[in-house]
Amino acid sequence: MKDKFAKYLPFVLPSIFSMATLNPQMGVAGQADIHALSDVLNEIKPENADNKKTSIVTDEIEEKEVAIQMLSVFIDELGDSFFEFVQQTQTVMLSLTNFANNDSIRTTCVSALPGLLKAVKSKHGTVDDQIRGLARDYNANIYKAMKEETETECLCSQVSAMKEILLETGPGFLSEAEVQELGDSALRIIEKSLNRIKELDDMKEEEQEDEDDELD
Amino acid sequence: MQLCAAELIGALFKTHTQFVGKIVSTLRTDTLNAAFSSKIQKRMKFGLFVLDDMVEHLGPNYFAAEDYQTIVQTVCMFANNKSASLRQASAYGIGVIAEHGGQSFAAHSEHCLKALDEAIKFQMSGKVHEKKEKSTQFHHARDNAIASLGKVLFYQKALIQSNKPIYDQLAQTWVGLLPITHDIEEAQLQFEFLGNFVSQESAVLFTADPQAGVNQVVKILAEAFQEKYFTEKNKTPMANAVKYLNTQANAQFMAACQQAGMDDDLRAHINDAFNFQG
Repeated sequence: MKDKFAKYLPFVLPSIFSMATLNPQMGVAGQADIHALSDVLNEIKPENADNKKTSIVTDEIEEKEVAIQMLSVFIDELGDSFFEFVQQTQTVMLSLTNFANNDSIRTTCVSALPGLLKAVKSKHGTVDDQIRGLARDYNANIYKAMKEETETECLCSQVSAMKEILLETGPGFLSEAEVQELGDSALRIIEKSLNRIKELDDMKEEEQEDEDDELD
Repeated sequence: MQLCAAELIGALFKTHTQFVGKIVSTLRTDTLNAAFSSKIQKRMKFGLFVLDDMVEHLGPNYFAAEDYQTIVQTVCMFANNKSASLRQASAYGIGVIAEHGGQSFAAHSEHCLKALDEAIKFQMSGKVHEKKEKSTQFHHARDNAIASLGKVLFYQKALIQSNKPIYDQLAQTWVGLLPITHDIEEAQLQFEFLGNFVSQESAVLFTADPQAGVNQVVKILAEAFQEKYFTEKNKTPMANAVKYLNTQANAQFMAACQQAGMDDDLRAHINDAFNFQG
């Protein structure tokens, strides 16, 4: 349907944007006030908790996630017909690539960024400076989010999004230093992945040894 | 995670070839050596993905001849591995070597063809047969090996044609192994190759036993000419092949449409191909 559907976007999107930008709130039993979800979660997080992010689902978060997924589908399906809304959508998506309280939202947002770039590229018909500028902003945002990311699936989506953006912008997008930095990041990811695998294997071995001890 | 990283590295190879020297060097001296010597399937698969990307995006001229040979030999080494995903990555890689190897392929053709032969002849074990997922992986690996044989014939045509007995044997083997039906993307390309092959290289397929040759090609085209295999580029060559057979070998073509195994659905596909106007 593409263009036939696109003409309804101005009527559909405002409510989706307001759903997507919901700021979930939460209260703690015994306290009268409610606060931003992330603040409450930080308050109640045990001191000895590891660095892993807490992923939770509330009605508000679910609503937010549905809205973001709808935006993501519109981006992918409508291509350049979505061009008019790229600016507003990227503001939402870029602000949520490090959304601490739900990994699915982080994954959907980062995965939508290459589609936004495609929409602009399709409208412009070529890779111009504006697209390269957008691609730089997106990659910088993703790179920052990657540094805080603790979930493997999200990390994978972030790396894939960077790859897509790179392929969309093509040759000449990065300087030699930037290529080296991105390559080093990829190699670090591999190293981390190997370490995680080794840790898991060691844990399994330890558990096995514990079981053997019990048998002795 | 490693495969995501490998894809990012591949994208860098593709888009910024002139700047990836240090990354290639680190990969070759550290990362890949560690991956292959680990004997861990996932790490070796990552290694093969990276090597496939090196061949595809950097090509043989990027490397010293002996280094490129090491890459080719490493890719081929896994063609008979008991892991289907490693066999698949290896078989796919050999196709990439044929497609992007240019004239350098001549030095590696024997090695590559031997590896493909092993990948194609690899037998499904009883355990694999029992598990649907494993069985699907097996077929994907085999499909990729057959597809790479087609890529050798297509992309290295001049080299293979320089030795007629080998050319005849490879072409007949390839057509005898089609259709592939599990790896749809590879199948789509193979059917495009076949369509062109039938029109342009009919002698090699139909001289020895014309009816058997036409029977096999009609069976493949009947399977191939349906929505799930269509691409923008393959419908016309397939339709042309059907029209060619109808014109050039009408009696055999008509008999082939009635051969055992051809049902009404398959005949309808042939009919669709015959009536297709590109």
